[in-house]
Amino acid sequence: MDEPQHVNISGMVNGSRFESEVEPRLLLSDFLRHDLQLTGTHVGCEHGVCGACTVLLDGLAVRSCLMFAVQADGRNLTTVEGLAGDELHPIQTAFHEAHGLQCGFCTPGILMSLVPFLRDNPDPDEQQIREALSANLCRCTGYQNIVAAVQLAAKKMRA
Amino acid sequence: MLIESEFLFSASRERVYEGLQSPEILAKALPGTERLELLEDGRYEGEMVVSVGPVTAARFQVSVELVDLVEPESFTMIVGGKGKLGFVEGRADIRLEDRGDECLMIYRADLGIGGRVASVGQRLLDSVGKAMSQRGLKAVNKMLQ
Amino acid sequence: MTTTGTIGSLIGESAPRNEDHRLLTGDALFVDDVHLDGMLHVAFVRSDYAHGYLRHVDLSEARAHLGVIAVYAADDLGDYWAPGPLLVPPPPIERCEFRSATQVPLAKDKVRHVGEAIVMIVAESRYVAEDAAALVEVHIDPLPPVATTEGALADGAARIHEQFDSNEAAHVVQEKGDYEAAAAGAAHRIRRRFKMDRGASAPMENRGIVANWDEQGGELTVWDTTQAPIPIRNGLARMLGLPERQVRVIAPFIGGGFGPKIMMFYPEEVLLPWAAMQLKRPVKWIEDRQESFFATTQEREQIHDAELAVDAEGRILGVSDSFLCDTGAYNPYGLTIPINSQCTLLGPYAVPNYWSEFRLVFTNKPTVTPVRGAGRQHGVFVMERLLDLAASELGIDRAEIRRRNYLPPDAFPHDHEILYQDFAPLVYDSGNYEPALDKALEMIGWDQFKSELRPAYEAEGRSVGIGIVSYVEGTGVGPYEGARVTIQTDGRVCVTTGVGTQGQGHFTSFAQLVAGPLGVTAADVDVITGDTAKFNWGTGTFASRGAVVAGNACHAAALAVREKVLMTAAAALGADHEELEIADGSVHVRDAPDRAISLGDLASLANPLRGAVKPGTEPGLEATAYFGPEHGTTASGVHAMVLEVDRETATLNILRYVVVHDCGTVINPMIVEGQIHGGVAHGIGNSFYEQLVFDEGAQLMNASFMDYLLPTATDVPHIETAHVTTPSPLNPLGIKGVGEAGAIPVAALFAQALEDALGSDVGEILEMPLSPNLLFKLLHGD
Repeated sequence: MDEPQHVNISGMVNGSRFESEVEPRLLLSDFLRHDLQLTGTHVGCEHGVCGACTVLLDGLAVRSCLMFAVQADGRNLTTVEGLAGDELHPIQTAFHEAHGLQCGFCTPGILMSLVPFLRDNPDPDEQQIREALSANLCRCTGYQNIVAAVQLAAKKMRA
Repeated sequence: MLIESEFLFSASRERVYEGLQSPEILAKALPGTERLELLEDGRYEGEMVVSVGPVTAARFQVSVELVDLVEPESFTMIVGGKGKLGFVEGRADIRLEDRGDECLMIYRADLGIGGRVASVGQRLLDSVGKAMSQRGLKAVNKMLQ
Repeated sequence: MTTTGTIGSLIGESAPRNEDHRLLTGDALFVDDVHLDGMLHVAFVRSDYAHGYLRHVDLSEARAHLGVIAVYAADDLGDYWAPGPLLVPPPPIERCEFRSATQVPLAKDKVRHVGEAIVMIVAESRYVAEDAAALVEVHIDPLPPVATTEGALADGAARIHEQFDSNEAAHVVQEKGDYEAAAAGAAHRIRRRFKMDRGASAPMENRGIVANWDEQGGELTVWDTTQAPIPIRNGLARMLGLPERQVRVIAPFIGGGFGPKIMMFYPEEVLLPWAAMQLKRPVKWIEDRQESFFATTQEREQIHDAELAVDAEGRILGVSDSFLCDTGAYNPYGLTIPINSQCTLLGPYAVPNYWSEFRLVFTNKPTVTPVRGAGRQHGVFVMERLLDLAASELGIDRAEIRRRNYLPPDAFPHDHEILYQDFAPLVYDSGNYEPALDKALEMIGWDQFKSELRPAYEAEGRSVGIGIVSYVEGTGVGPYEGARVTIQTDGRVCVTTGVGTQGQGHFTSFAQLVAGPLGVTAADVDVITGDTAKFNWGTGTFASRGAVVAGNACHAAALAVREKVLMTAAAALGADHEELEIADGSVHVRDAPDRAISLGDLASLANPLRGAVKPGTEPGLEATAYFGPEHGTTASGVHAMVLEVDRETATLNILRYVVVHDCGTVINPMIVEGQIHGGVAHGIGNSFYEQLVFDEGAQLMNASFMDYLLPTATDVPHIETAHVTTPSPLNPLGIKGVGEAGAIPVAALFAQALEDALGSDVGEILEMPLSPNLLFKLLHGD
C-alpha cells in the first residue's frame, strides 16, 4: 500500500495565515477541527443537512463537511472563533440575551450562517428568519428563541 | 426492492434462452460486471462495479445460479452480490415469449438489500436498478445479433 | 438546622446563562474536541445483516494495512468479552415474567441487528481506520429476521436469543379494581387498536469516547458523551479490574442527550478504555451520523389494543389495555418504557378500574432504550384518543369530557395502586388540573374558534382544526443525587455535582439555587458537573430529574454552607448569629453595615494556617448534601393547537400552539420555557416528520438526515406558554421535572386537531407518526 499523497495548501483563517500539507480527501471540517485545532466548528451529520459545520469561505456560508481542505487553498475562511473581537459580536450577545442556545452544538453553524444573512437582510421579518434558519437543524430549542435572538441581533446591528 | 419490466429482443426465443446462459452474455446483462465465470457446478461467479455517474459507488462479489430451467420458456436467476457497501440478494423470474423473429422477455426481480447501500442509497436504487437493467439488456440484444 | 435572617432566593428569576460565553465563542469542550498526543482513532465494522450466524471474520488484510495499529474481533477480547449489565431489573410487580438479554461488546456467534458491531479497528486516523474496515471480510449465514413487533411472536418466527423458547422478553399484568365488571354495565365501550412507530433521538452531537491510560500513574481517563458519568466510571472500574479511584470519567459539554446517551454500556464504552490499556496509547471514537442510526438506541414502537368504558356522561368507568412493546435486539433497560406507558395512560383522570397487560418482544432492530418521553407518549396517545372517540360518540365537547374526569384538587396524594418505573407505587403527589385546562382554553380561544373562527375558515374553503389534550408526567425519581458547595477565598462560590448536563442550563439553574442562600448572584457561582474526579456519588440526568434531585441537593448544601458562614462570621465580627445578614457577597451586622466581612475573607479565616479548628467542626466553608426523594413527583400539563391542512398538498401549518404547564416551583422561567419549546418540537417531529423505516429484512432504509426528517425552523410554530404551580410536597423546593414534558402529548394533539380539520375525509387517526405522504394517501387515496 502506497503512502498517501499530500498537497500543500495555504490561506487565511480568522485573519491568520495557515499553511499545511493535507491528503486530497481530507474534509475541510476535519482540517479546521483537527489540523488547525479550531474546534468551534462542529460536525453533526457529514452529509450537508444539519448545518452545524457552517463556516464562511470568502464571506459566503458553506458546509465545511461537504468540502475538501484542498478547496480552501488560497481562500479566506472565517469560523466561529473569529466572530468576537475584543467584545462579543452582536449576534453572539443577542443569542445570550434571548436564550437562543441550549446545548450549543448547533450554535456555531447557526451563527456563521447568520453573518451573511444579516449582512444582506438587515431588517428581516419572522418568516424570512425562519426560512433562513431552515438550513440549520436544532434539536434542543424548538427554534423559537433562536428567532428571537436573530431579531434582537438585527436590531443591535442596525443601531 | 421490486423491479418488474419487459424487454423485446430482436432474436428468436431459442437464441435468447441459450444466450442468457453464456457467461459473456450474462455479464453484459449486468453492466459493470468486470468478470463472470461459469463454474463446474453450474453457478456463475464474478465481480461487478456499480457506478453512479463518474463516481464508483461499490465493488461487489457476484454469484448467480440459474434454477427451474424450462427450455426455452423460463428460468429463475438466484443472485447474490456482496461488497463493502452492503449486499444484494434475490431472485429474478424470467419468462420468454415467442414473437417469431423477436422474443419478449418479461422479468420480475425481487431483491433484498442490506448495509449502507440500503440505508442511504434508496434514492439511487430505484433509478439505478431500472437503468442498469435496460442498459444491460440493450447490450445483450446487440450481442445476440 | 436553624437559619437566621431572610434567606435570599433567586428562584423564579430568568437569570441569563453562565454557560453561554464558552458555547458562543467555540470555546466549549465537547468530546470530539479532546486532543491527546499520540491519539489513535477507531472505526467499527458493523453487520449488514439483521439476523444471522457469525461464522468467520478475516482480519488479515485489515491488519496489514498501512497505519493500522490493531484489529479486534470478539475472540481477541478473551475474558473481557461479556454481555453488558442489566441496567434496570424489573420492578417487584406480582404478575411479571422477565427474560434479560443484554448487548455484547462485539458480536460473537450471532448478529442480531443491522449495525451491530463485529470488529474494532484502531489506526492512525479515522480515514485509515475506515479504509481498513473495508478490507475486513465478514462471513454471516443469514437467518430470517424478525422485522416487526407482531412478527416477533408469530408462529415459526426465528428465535433471536436461542436460550429462550420465544422472542418474548417480558409479560406483565398490572391491574386495579375489576375492569370487566365495571365495563359490563357501561353505557359505552370504545375499543381501538393504536400504533406508534420508531423514532431516533437525533441529538446534534453524535456519541463519542476518548480513553487514555496513564500507565505510570495507573489512571484511566475517559471522556464520554454520557448522561451518567458516575455509573460508567463504576462499571468500567469493575470490568477492567481497577479500583474506582483510578478511573475518571468526564462528560464535558454534551450536544444534547434526550435519553440514549444514558444507555450503559454501549459496546464502544466498554471497548475504547480496554483498547487504550492494551495499546498504551489514547484512543478516540466518534460516531458518525449514519452510524448513529444503528449504533445508538432508539424508541417508540408499540401496538395497543385498548378499550375505554364510560357512563352516559362520559365519566370513565375503566380502561383495559393490552399492548406489544418492541425492545429491539436486546433489553438492557428492562421494563422502564412499557411501565411508563402503562402508568402514564391513567393521566390526570380518575380511573377506578384498570387492566393493563403488555408483552415486551425482541426484534432484529437496534436496541430500544428511553428517548425523551420514554413510553409516556404512548399511554397519553391511547387515553386521549379514547376520550376523543368517546366524546364524539356521546356528543360531548372534547374539553368537557376531560374536565369531567379530572382528579379533583383535594384528591392528592392519589394512589393508583400499580407500580411505576421507580419501583414505588404510582402515587401522584400533587396536582390541580382544571385551572390549566381553563387557561389553555382561554389562550387558544376554544369557544371563539367553534363559534366564529371555524365557520369563517370554512367559508374561505380552509381546513382548520383545533385540539386540546391533557397529561401527567412522573418526574424527579430517585435514587438520589449529591452536591458539594464551597466558598473560595476569592469570594466565588463553587458547586459540584455528579449529574451530567446536555444543554438544560444546569450551570445556571443550579447556580441560582446556591446563590440565593449565600447572598451572591448566579454569575458568581461556578457549577461543575459530570466529572467523577470532582464528585463521584450519584446516578445521572434522565427521567426529568436533574433539577428536582440534584437541584435540591445543591440547595441543601448551600444552606449548610450558609450555616457555616454565619457561625464563622459571628466569631469574626463578634456578633450574634441572629444579628447577621448575608448579601452582595459579604456578611454584615444588621443596621451596622461597616461591621462586615466578605465571603472570600471568611473562607480564608475558616482555613487557618495557625490556631485550631474546633473539634466537631470542619475547616473551610464547604458542605456536601444529598437528596433522595421517596418517589417521583407528578408534573402535568395541557397542550392546545390550531392546525390548518392544505388538502391538495397534505402539508400542515400550525397556526397556534399553547402549552400550560405545571412543573411545581420554577427555578428559571426562561430555561423552563426553552425546555418546553424543544420538547414540543421533538413531539412535532414524532407526530409528522420523523419515522425510522425498516423493510421486511429489518434493514433501515433512511439512515440519514436526507431521509429521516427533523423539524426545521419552518416546521415548528411559535409556542405560547403559561404556568400553573402546584409545588411538590416531596422535596423542599417544591420542584417537578420538565425536560420531557413538551414531547409527551403532541402526537395525541395532532391526531385530534387533524381529525377536527378534516372530519370524515380522513377517518380516525390511530397511528403515529403520520407523514405528508400518509396524509396525502388518506385524503386522496393511493
